[in-house]
Amino acid sequence: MSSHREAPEVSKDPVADNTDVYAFVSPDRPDTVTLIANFIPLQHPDGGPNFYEFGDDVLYEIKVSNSGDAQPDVTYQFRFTTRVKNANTFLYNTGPIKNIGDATFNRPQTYSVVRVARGHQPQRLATRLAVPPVNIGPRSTPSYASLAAQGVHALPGGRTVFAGQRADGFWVDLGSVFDLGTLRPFQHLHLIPMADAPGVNGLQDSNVHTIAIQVPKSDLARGGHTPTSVGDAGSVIGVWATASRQRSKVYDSDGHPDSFGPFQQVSRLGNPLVNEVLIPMASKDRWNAQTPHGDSAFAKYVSRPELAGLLPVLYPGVFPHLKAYTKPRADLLAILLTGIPTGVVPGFQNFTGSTQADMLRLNLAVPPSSKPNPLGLVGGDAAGFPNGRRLTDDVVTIELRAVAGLTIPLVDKSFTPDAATSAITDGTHNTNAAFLGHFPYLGTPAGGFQSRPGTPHS
Amino acid sequence: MPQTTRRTFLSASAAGAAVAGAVTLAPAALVRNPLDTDNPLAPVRTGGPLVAYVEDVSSGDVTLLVGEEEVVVHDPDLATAIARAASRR
Repeated sequence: MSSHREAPEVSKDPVADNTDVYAFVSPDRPDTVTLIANFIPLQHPDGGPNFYEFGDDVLYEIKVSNSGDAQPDVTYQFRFTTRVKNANTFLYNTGPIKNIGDATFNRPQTYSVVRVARGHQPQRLATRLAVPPVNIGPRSTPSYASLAAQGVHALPGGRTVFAGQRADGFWVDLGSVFDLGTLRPFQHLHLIPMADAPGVNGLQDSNVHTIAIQVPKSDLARGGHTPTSVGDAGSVIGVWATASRQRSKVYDSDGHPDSFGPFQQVSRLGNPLVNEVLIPMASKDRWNAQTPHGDSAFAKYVSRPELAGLLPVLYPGVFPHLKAYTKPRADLLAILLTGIPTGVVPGFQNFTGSTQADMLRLNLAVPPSSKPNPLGLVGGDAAGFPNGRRLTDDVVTIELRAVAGLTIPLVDKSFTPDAATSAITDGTHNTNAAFLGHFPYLGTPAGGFQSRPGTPHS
Repeated sequence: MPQTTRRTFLSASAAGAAVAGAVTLAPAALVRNPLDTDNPLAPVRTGGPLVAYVEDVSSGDVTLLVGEEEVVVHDPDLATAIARAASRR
């Protein structure tokens, strides 16, 4: 998955598990940027009676570097507090919740937002902002879309924020890709062949918890400017999100935890699928604990990706050119760790300097596309991944094709991709809830009452 | 569950009034987390509980975790004393 359960330790700590990060120029407010970080993967809509919620003991952060050194220049911090209104009931809600502040919402969460600019004192933007309840069903949370909309809050400085449950916007065939790299539409070519079949979106009807913030471009860009020139180095930002826990947790005799000490990062996400697919299992937890600034230590896994070696083995005879290519993958190093410099893609760059760092790089001067191409930059749409990441970008297909060699010619004209490369797909498309046309853009989460479990086979 | 009745399930406003009464009677149940996470800029509390962590007794370092801070004290005698105390059962 993008980064759902991508590392051994954080897979056991879903409240702190960052599943996806998005950064894009807001299509309906192109003077702003929307940053989204999702947490708590694979939520069953009917997962009560203790439904999913943010962690009071987790520090959630969205970080932006704008000075080329992969250090955070602007950080938004989010801290949550949970209350129980009625201590004498087991119910999440003691009646229908029609408004976000209803007394029937028995376990509400609120949160604070703090902006930290490098070298400055932290600025508290808001406290006690309400989080909507999860989507339980038509009796408990009627008119859920309008109920959740009450969780969109205006912040000082033209900023807007939302935190709460949303439909996952990521799609991929989980069942097949983790079964020895199977791509169902081409599985007759697999080392262990089966009849071709359509892809299955393993995240359909799955919810996540979203933190989304929309800010003026000047809130993020170097020097507080609003970038207008694509070629200007100051137009590019690097984005990543983290979750951190205090170093020690102690349970009292009533079973209540208390945390002590400074925060230690336990989850990190910039580009999708990096820790998931490129970093070896034994290094994944350490990768999650590091800052992007130190990612040169992991660059060898990007320049020699294990998956590029596996594809010719799993699909014999399909990737002869890829199999024969022995050079370091300068294309992937650029796309994922430094950004694409001027001169590689005509009229475009998102280069952040020589510091190798996994960040989602966004050139703020590229306007939103009127007809977004899900294949983003490789599809000729410079407003999409790997120039930031929009909800509609098909990052699985883009990265599969890139790893298979489609982007090598950007930096090595002597290489011709295999014929199959541009056709690679896991066969899925976005069958999740429809995206919204406005902030926070992610779709209405699936309801517990309305959704149906899948059909197991063994 | 005295506040929950058929009527409260059918009327959000009625249920709201009932639960508000419960809140007034049991304010201690309102705040579960002892840290004021809605106020992350609050100063570190003093005099509260803390955790002492000795990773390597031979280093003489004792790490004290208090609030959201960490203090490392280099005190070989203290590190040794903690280790000895821990070995007594």
